Amino acid sequence: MLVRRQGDWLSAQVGDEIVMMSAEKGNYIGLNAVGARIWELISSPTPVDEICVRLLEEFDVAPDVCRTEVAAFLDELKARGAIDVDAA
Amino acid sequence: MMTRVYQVSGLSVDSEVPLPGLLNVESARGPTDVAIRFGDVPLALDDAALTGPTWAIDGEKFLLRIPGVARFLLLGGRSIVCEPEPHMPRDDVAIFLLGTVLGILLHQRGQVVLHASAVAVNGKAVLFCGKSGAGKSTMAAALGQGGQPCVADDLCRITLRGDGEPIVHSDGRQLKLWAQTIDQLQLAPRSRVRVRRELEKYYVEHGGAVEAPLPIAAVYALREARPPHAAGIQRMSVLDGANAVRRHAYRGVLVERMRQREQYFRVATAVARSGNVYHLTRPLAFAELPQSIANLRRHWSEIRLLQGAT
Repeated sequence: MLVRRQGDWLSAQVGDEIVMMSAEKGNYIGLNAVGARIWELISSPTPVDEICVRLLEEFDVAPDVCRTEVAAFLDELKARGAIDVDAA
Repeated sequence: MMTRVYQVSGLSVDSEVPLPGLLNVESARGPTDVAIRFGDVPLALDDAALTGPTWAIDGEKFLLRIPGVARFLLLGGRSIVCEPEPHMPRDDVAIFLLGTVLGILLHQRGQVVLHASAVAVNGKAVLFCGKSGAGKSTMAAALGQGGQPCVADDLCRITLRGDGEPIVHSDGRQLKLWAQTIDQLQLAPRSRVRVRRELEKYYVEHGGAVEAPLPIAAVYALREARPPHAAGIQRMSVLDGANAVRRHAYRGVLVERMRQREQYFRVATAVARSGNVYHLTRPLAFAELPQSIANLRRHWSEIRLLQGAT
């Protein structure tokens, strides 16, 4: 599954978090430190598996927990129109 | 006709309309930023690209109708022409000029304006935002009684300094208060010009006005204490803080219409970056005001705003 950013977003770094605004709709989304890292990782289209591999290297987290939380996070971003996930 | 020069929200304004409550500047040094004149104002803009129930926008022109009061034509954030309705005393348009009209003018100039009052604490600004009637002026006035100078009463123009730090510009005017609030604060003997008969608001002297822009130390979004919200002060998350700043844009619908989302986003996130955006939840009863003020001062000690203060 390939994850790619979607839409036009302005973003501002606030500490280790990111606040983003949809240029189209004007709504704000907040990403915590891990979310901000994922957003950075998908600056070019990236497979979900690769996101998990990178996070496991960088954060102290169990693989199954990581996988579940990444899936939930991506679902949320998708619901807000910030990403698109190819079933490829 | 004679004009006077005022300093308001960081702009110099020469006005044919007397603006009671504003600090009068001695004389203009060079051209002013904004001119306010009496004159003829059309009933409508024929080529308006955007219209609302009481306003119309055509390029640089913004027409505002306040039924029973006056019509205002704003041009490019540089001039305001005011035509009061026939029975309307000319002096009574001032309160509208200093509120809605000035807010729109600042939007025309691409400025970020929040619906908030602000006082100075130890060289920094503390903002109170909320809807009309939420107690913005009351908080500022009560703090003014305690010696905190007023920075802004109802609208706060915020800009970002070169280093990205958000700063607030003084609105240069005196506090506008509900009559009931004045009695409670025992300011009544100092009350001066009545702002507008129907509104029962008054201009009063307060603890001195601040003219230089000040960095923002804290922003408090005011809300009433009632379930589920207990009285107290709570720090907001970064996202909630940024959203609170954006939500308190002055005449927020115009931010959308005038395509200023990006400026507000930059300011909202810069303010959120300070980490000092809070909910201030308190009972609305006046009898509780001293307790709210005491809680606020204790909070200023906790966030080290009072450190080094004399």
